[in-house]
Amino acid sequence: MIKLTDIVVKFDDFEALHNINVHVKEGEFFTFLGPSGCGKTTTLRTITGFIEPVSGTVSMQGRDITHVPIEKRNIGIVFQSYALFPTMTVHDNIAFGLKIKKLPKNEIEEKIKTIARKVDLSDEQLAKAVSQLSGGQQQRVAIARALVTEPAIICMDEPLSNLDAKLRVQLRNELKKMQREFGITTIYVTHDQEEALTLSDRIAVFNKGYIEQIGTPNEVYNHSKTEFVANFIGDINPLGEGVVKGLGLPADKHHFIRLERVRVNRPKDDDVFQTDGVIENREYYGLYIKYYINTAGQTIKVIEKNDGINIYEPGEHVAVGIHPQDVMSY
Amino acid sequence: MQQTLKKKGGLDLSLIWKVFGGALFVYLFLGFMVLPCLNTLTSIFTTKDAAGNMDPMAVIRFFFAGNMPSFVINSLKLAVSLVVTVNVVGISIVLLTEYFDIKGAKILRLGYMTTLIYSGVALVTGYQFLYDSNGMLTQWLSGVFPGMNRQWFSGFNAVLFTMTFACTSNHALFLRNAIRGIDYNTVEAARNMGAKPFKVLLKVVMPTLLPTLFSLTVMTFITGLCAMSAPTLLGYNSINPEIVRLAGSSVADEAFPQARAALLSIILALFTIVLLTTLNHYERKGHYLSVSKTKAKLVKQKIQNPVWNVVAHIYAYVLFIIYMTPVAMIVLFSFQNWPAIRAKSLNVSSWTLINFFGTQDYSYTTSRGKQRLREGVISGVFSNADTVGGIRLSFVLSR
Ligand SMILES: Nc1ncnc2c1ncn2[C@@H]1O[C@H](COP(=O)(O)OP(=O)(O)OP(=O)(O)O)[C@@H](O)[C@H]1O
Ligand SMILES: [Mg+2]
Repeated sequence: MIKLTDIVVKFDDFEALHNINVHVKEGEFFTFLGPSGCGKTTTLRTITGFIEPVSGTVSMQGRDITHVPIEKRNIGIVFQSYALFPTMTVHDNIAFGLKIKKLPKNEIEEKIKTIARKVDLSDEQLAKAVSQLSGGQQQRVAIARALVTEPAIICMDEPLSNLDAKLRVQLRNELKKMQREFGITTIYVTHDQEEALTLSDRIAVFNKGYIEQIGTPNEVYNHSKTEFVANFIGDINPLGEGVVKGLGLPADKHHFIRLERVRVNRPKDDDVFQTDGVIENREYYGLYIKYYINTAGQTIKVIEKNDGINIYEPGEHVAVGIHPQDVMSY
Repeated sequence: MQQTLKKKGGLDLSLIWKVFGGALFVYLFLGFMVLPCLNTLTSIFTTKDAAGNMDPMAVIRFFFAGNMPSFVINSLKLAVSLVVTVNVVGISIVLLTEYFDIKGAKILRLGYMTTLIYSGVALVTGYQFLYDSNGMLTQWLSGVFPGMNRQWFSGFNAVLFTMTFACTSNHALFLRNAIRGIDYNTVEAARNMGAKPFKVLLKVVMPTLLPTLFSLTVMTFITGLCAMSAPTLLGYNSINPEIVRLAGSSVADEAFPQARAALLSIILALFTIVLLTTLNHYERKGHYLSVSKTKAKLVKQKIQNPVWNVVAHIYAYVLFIIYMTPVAMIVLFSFQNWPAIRAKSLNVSSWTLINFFGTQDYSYTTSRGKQRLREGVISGVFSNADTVGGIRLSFVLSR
């Protein structure tokens, strides 16, 4: 569907993207994930045509569009700020792209009606000024405006980042539902790993202008290809000398284990390296409990499901077990 | 005990202040607002005819019988024309420096902003060094075309020309801010939906500027209506110069000049009040709330069509030259002595710093035709023989 091949983007002397290769498939929800300044927006803007790469090609449905002007690309965009036109009503915002395409009036009205129903905007809301809408409604207008021209693909740059936490979760679900309904190929930019994991079919993890890994949420989380990915997605424990020796792992590599994979007071399997630990501290989250356990000469963070029975107190001795299968080595 | 005393004393003091302040306010309100208005109105309706009888309607009748409406019409004509020209030039300079990608925009902006520094009088003076009947360009032109009218730079067209470029300061300040307040993502969104750059300007950018433009239009209209220095210096019969002339005239010369001046100023005031009220009303409901929580900075738009790009550049630099001319003239002539300034011809063999470091006496003609002698300092250079202009440096420094 959309294919980036060896894309390099420079701002004057600064190379923002080095050799980006991505292939987004038809109907996929694809996410660019990474810390601030890693090049997610730059990559997205290269796709939409606002930035021209110094080398490499962008192709869409097999056609090279690297040098095709923005307005001819047929790509919908939802901006972080939504970028709704403040001087127009909701209706006129959605109609803008259709009017530019010079569609007949009744056809325009028909399309607006259809899309408004799909994104759940009432007739009264269509007549309103955009400033009279709530954040969530504005997002729906932005999506409707981007979809009404029937683009081949839709790009969203952190569309949820300026909303409060609760609304963010709610709109995230709505977004996913809408994407499924429309079945439209979506490229989504975020620096929020939870958002990426819950929404995406596949994720590209960016770092400093490179892509570190492309994979499904499970692949990037459970089989992180690089130390950076393991670190950026979820939380990890670097393993100290004691554990590494105990497991007989090679000393020339870095070894990590995810918090929820550490076993506390469980029956010992054959391969498991088990050692005594003391609870140093505890953070109570309700759904789960996070322990800081001093063991094998280091502090290991552990997450345990809150089952209401096995709750350990600081100072308590526990058995800490680590299965070699759960260790990630780089 | 002591504390309560203190408290009581404090209370008394604040009461005294209140009374005092109230009295002062009443005094100022009555003395400077109500009474002058009443006086003006009274002076209109208490005119006496030749026989010494009171004739309240004399001025009104005179107004409709004489040439007084022509001053009002001239002022309105100037105001309406200015609204058009100032908006065209004002919008141009702001778009050329803030919206379109024009080479040398920073220098252009400096040039367009010079009117913030020079007062109206200084500006007219600057143009006159070139275009007046004995101005340098006129001298040169009349050398080439001996039959030409040496007074060509006077009257309505000259006033309109100078005032157009003098009155764009507000555009340069407020419209610029309005443009910078636009979320650039809206421009990108429009481009993405297939709008060409010019369409984006028309449909997305301009509508957000409309409230600001409306305010600027009203302000320009009032400026045109109340124009003083340019019409006086360039000879255009609009309201304010006439008021000044009438105020200095005496009953011996013409029929009830003071009352006529009063009537004209009332007319001016009424126009201004109506316009400001409209503005106020519109401003309260007219502003668009930007809905963007985060804004992207505007990126200058390159004009894609090479022909239009060249045309825009030429236009930008022609405007630049027009703006810079009076400034250049004033700077040039500030190094000349008084006779050269007066003759408006550069004396290339003698340059002087006398205007900066010394004083020289020179005579000049007042607005009432009297010869006066003044000690020359730099302000003399910026004044055109009657009013003192000056560099409003403080204005620039304060921003
Ligand atoms: N117009 C520009 N001129 C110069 N440098 C730029 C420009 N746009 C981006 N950059 C640089 O390119 C790099 C990547 O920027 P980009 O906006 O793609 O990051 P991002 O991953 O979207 O970050 P964020 O999460 O903060 O939005 C950054 O170092 C940034 O400073
Ligand atoms: Mg970004």
